[in-house]
Order: sequence, then structure tokens, then C-alpha cells
Amino acid sequence: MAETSSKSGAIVPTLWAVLFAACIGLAAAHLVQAVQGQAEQESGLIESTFTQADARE
Amino acid sequence: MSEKISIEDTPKRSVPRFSRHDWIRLFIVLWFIACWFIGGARGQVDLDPFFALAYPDAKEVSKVSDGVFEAVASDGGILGYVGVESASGYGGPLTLAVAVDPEGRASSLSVIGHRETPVFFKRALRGGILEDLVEKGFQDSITLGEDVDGVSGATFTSLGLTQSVHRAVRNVAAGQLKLEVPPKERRIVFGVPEMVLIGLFAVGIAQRRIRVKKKLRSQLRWATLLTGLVALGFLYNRPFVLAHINMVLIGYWPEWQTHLFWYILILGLLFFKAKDEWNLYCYDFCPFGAAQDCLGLIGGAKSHKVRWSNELVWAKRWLIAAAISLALIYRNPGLSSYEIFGTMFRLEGSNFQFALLALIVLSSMFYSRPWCRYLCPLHRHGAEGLFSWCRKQVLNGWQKLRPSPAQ
Repeated sequence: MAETSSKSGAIVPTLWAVLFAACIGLAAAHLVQAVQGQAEQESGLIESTFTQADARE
Repeated sequence: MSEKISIEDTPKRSVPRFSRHDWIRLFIVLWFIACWFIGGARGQVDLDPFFALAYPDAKEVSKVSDGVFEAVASDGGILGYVGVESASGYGGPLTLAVAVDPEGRASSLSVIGHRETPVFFKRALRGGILEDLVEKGFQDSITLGEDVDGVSGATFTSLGLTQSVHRAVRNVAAGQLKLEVPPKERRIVFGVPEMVLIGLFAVGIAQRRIRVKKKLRSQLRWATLLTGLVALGFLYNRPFVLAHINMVLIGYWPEWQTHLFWYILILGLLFFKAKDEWNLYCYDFCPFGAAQDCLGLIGGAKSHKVRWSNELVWAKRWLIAAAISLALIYRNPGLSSYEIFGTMFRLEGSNFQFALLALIVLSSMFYSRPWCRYLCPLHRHGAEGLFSWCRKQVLNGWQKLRPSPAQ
């Protein structure tokens, strides 16, 4: 009985740790994606945002 | 008879020794300084693609003054000019190249550099603001919200784009075309968001200065939290983000006339943190903190035991260090903002941010403020902790230099 409660007592803190580690991993993945997007954005920014008066007609 | 006291007997002020963690923090600070220099060494923007698009018939486009270029046709006639100007956006300077015709009108334009969070930048462009700005002349007032439609949720980006075009057109008209340019209107933006922010700071300071009963203190805290949630969160979406810290570190200080809110928030936080070690934001009116507290009421959230808690906190610190480093290197304060505030209050963000928001919302019901403890860049385990450590080193250094008082 004591062994069961000690096992369940160890599982919950571990589950919380896994959850928060996953959260940190998602934040890191977003960071990687943002950096990749930055490199792509810098390369074609002028062409992609070019706007001239004729384009409005 | 009084005893003489020698120098050797004078009590020395004890200065704490550097621990292993102190050396790590010092390394991180030095690394940030190195990243700042790396970012500064990155190359300038190549404007030739814009010249080719704006003036395809030009024989030559040459620089005539600081930020101004002249396009000359093959017969020697002047086709027009290109003005390059910057204005403050949300995350830093927005730089545009604007082709100005001999009548002083913008004939074409391009964004050549920006520091906006990608989601909000795309939103501003989708709103058609660049199309609204083309053909604006040097005599047009070009005021956001009056002459040009702003884009909801990308106000500062829209403002920065508008001001850049305005400056470029006026600069060319006055400098090269010698036209009489009307005087520039300087409007100070001070409205409800600024008043709410000042009010929140005032209540936070009053709670700490004035002795009140515990129940009243708790009620006041909930009042400021809910105000922060509604006003700074859902209504105006202006929480404190990592981009603000990056802007300070990079040196992008926006115009105070149009960014008064930014100055009140940053200077208010830094002042009271440096003076009294108070963090008025996190515990009194952070909108995302308030959201977590409200969710926590549903499931009875509390601080449960977490395995490898120390390792997770250090993982967060390295994540924040990487985010700040990237912002310094790319000179883009908003690049590394991984926070999920915009995801929650504006429903915008990457797939990773939406997944992260779902996990945090669910865990907030049962665990007290999980975002703050394991992910928030501002929290005492993050930037606030590093600031406190720097403050402590400065005070310790000052104590060491200051002579001991004679007994």
C-alpha cells in the first residue's frame, strides 16, 4: 500500500515535469521557425512589399 | 582614556564570493555584449532591387545626400528621387525606400527593413496600408486614422509605415525639389491605455507604501489584475514582452510622442525594480498572469511538486538567453518573442504557439501560474533575476569602494 502510494506520488511530479518540458520544447521550436522565417524574409522583402501607384488601378 | 584603533582592526566590508551560478550569469552578460557587436557588424541593405523596380528606365541612380538618391535617365533628365527613412514601429525601426516624383508625390515604395513580429507585419500589409500611402504628396498631412486607415491589431506597425513615408516625401521635397513644405505637426499620443497604465502603477505603489488590511490588499490586487487582463490584454493587447527588453538592449528607443505607453511601462518597471526591488508588473497587473489566476480558480490551482524543477528552470534560462541573443544578432527585437500573449488575446501566432497556449491554459487550472515559473522571460527566474543579480553586483561593488565608517 505504501509502495503504491509512493509510486503514484512519484508519477504526478514526473508528469508535470514532462508537461513543462514539452512547453519549453514548443517555445524553442517556435524560436527556430522564427529564425528560419527571418532569413527568408530578409532575402525577398523589397520585392514582396514593392507597391506603386499603377497597382491600385 | 580612549583606545586607538588601527587600520588592521577596522572591520572590512565583506563582499560575497562568486559562486558557479554567478560565473554563468557573468558569461551570459558578456555573451549578450558580444551578440550586440555581431549584430552591428551585419551588412547594410542592398537598394539596387528597389531602384530597378521603381525606375526601370533609369540610366543611373546615385546618392546625392544622406538617405536620398537621384534617378537619372539616359538623356540626363531627372526621373525622380528615392528617399530612405525610418520611423518607430512596434519592435524597432521600420525603414522604407520611397520613390518621389518631381511633383513631390510618392510614386512607389518598399519596406527595406523592419523589426516587427512577423504575424503583425503581415496583418498590416494585408490591410492595404502600403496602397493607401502610395501617391501621398509632401503637402498631405498623412495622419493615421484620418488620412490613412490604420490596421486594427497592428497600430504601431501602421504608424511606423505612415511616418516613414511622410518623412521620406517631405525630406526629398524640401531638400532636392526645393518645395515649400508645411510645418510638421507633433502630436502627443496620450489616451485611455496610458491613463490605465499609470493608474495600475499608482495602485501597485500605494499597496506597498500604505498599510492596509490583508483583505483590502487582496481585493485591490484582484482589481488591478482584472483591469490588466481586460485593458492591457483583450482591449489593447499591450502586455510587457521580451521584445521590450530587446529594444532597450539594442538601443531602439522610439519617439516618446507616439510611444508614451512604452516609456511609462519600461521606465516605471526599471525605476522601481532598481530602487526598491519591486516587480510591480508581474504580481499586480500582468494580463497573462491574471488569466492564469482566473483559470486557477476553476481547478483549485496550487504549486505542486515538479520533478527536475531546477533543471527545467535552467532550461528556461537558456531559452531566454538564446532568444535575446538572436534578437541582438538580427537586430530584430520581435524576432524571438515566443510569448503566447498575442495568441491568447488576438488569436494570432504559429502552430507551436497555439499548442503551447493550449497546454498552459489547461495546466493553469491545476498548477499555479505555470507560464510564469517555467517559461516567462520576465519572471524572477529570467530577465528579472538577471537584473537583480546585476543590481546586487553594482551595490556590492559600490560597498567595496566606499570607505568604512570609523567607529
